[in-house]
Amino acid sequence: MIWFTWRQFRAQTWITIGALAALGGVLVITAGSIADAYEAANVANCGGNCADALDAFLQQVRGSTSGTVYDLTNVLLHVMPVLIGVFWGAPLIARELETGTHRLAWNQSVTRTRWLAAKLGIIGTATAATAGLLTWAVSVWAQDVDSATGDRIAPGLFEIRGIVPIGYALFAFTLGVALGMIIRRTVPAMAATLGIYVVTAISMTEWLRAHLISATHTIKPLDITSPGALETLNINPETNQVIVRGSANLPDAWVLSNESITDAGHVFTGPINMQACGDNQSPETCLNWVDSLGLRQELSYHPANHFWPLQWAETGILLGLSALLVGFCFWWIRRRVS
Amino acid sequence: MISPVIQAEGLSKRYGRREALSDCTLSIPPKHVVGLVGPNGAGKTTLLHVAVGLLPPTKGRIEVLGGRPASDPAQLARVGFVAQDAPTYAGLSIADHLRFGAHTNPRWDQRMAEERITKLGLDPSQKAGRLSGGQRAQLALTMAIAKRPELLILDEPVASLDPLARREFLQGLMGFIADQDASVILSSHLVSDLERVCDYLIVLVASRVRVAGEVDDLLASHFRLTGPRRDPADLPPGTEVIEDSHTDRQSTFIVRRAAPIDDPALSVEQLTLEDLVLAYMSRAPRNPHPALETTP
Amino acid sequence: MIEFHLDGRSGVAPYMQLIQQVRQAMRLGLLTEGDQLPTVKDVVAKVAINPNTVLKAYRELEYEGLVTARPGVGTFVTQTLTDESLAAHGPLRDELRAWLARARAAGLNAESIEALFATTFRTLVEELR
Repeated sequence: MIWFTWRQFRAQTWITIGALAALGGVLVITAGSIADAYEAANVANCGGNCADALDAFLQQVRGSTSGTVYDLTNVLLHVMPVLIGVFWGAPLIARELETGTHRLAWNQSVTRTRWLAAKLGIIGTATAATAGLLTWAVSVWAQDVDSATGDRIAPGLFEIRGIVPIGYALFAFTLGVALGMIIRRTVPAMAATLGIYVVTAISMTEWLRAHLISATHTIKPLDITSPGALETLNINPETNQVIVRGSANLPDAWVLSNESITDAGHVFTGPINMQACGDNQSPETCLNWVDSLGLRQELSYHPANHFWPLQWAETGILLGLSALLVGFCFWWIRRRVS
Repeated sequence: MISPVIQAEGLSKRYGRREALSDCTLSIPPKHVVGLVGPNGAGKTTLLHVAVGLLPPTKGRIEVLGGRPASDPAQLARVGFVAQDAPTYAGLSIADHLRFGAHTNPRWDQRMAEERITKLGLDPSQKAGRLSGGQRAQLALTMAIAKRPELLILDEPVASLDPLARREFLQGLMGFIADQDASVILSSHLVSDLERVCDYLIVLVASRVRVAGEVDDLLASHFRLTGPRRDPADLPPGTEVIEDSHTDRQSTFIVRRAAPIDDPALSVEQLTLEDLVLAYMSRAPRNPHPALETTP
Repeated sequence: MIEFHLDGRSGVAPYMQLIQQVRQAMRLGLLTEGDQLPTVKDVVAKVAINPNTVLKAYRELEYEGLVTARPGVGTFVTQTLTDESLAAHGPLRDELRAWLARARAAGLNAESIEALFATTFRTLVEELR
């Protein structure tokens, strides 16, 4: 059964190996140019004031081929679980049910359970290995860029670094297999897998992840007058409303909310003092007036050291979902199918 | 008392509101070629799928070779199955299929399988998707035979084959039986497919077993009676009327009767198997306990 | 070695057709004493009938004393049929012609003669069983 599962998977195996090898080649070739840019910007010796050096470094990378490759790997890693779910997961059982070959396979002297176990085990392992290898290769290649941008924990990069991609890949795979078993037709199963996976992935990023671990809360005096401290000042003269935000000044963190609150604890929205902030007044006057209000800044964020706890938590959830789907598959195949 | 290859009691299978099999009771003797006949939608495929363990019954019991269908690998090894339209893996070669069988079946006879493929003039490296319908059927049959089953079950194996492919398939099947002394069950909606090869017959119509028995016994106990118009009740006692039709002058009956008919007013004719099956197929289901086998 | 064929529409049971074909072959001299009949496997490979049918026919022929089965070797013809019956054909044919002439003279047409012959023959065969 092990040989046969591989034999059925042969084409996908070769395609995947080819793609990984090609990508590996590209990464190896472009690694040099990133290292060069790093040296040229002298990031290693930037001491306390690294912002300029890091900016120069990132500028150079973005302008070169490595920048294009970086963007490409971003897309690739986001798309990878979808591809696995749609092309490895959905057809795994659905194709057999659609063509009737399950009636041939289940008459050989292996029970359905063992048959399913071989398929899930082997292709599932291939899924984890592919996702893991791909993520590791890109993470190593991009580590300097990642630490320069400090965005690793933020949505957009979080899903394609660390171990979470393995979770997403396994989830997409098991989702595809389960949907294939229920729907029994390959193409509809592929479409359903795509739809449900995208909804789940977006939900995870937009709503769930922030709450996996308690975020850090701080309240401190709002500073909007120091250089670089102001982030937003939006005045709406008609409604007499204002939005003001100070910079969070938390590089490497994932800021969930940044509000300017009054002493009572409500978000400050106005009313504005038209004499200080009218059309004919300078921005500094307005700023000084807001500053005089004594507002405070309320920050909710995940600092950089939450990266790995969040990774484990999210991966755990994805693996848990995958396990449920696998359990469902075994139950379904014993009960329902002809 | 030889144990039957299939023993079913009150077997029923229901899909939602629809009953695919109703209250089927069968005791199929071993070492026979059993024909399962019935119109499309009668439940033949359902019955065979229950027998090979692809479907669980809704009610009743079934035992195949003394065990529960598909209960474990040992049971699976004893029953060979070729599903309708002989499904094969289009992207895999004939040799791949045989290797699959060799890896998963304990009693697989690779040499016999290869010989059969060669004798059929097939190229083992050919992908199954490129084969003709008849060749795919032969591949599926080879896979079922090479695992050396005690019971071979075939679902409408020749329905979509041209006459030559049909003949070749049956020749191969009969050769297998001559060699391996196994029991065979094949289903068809055409009696002509089965007449030459079956020695046991089951007629399944509208989810019920109408008649089951050895072909020789059935043919010896069913007759066509023709004579002047009369009521079925006026026939000699011990005569079961299967089908009757009347004009204003004449009556024709298809009957089942153990002893020979002695009435000089009736002309008695033998029936062909097709006549017999047609009579049972058109019989209205007024009898809740259908006629069963003729031999104990 | 002879070959068998089946007529699906003759109304005669398959095993009976095989028996008749063996007897016919023996009568025509195609099979003589010591000749081997085709094996069951060979027959079904050509004719696609149930092997039990062939076995039944061969058993019946053995019961009639026309063939004998040697286990592991095959089934062999034990007699030659041509001699005896051929001699009786002549006088029987003459008698038949005379009878047919009388039937025509009595007013029976061809179909009536055939029907009379068929029913009498069938009754006789039944009685001999």
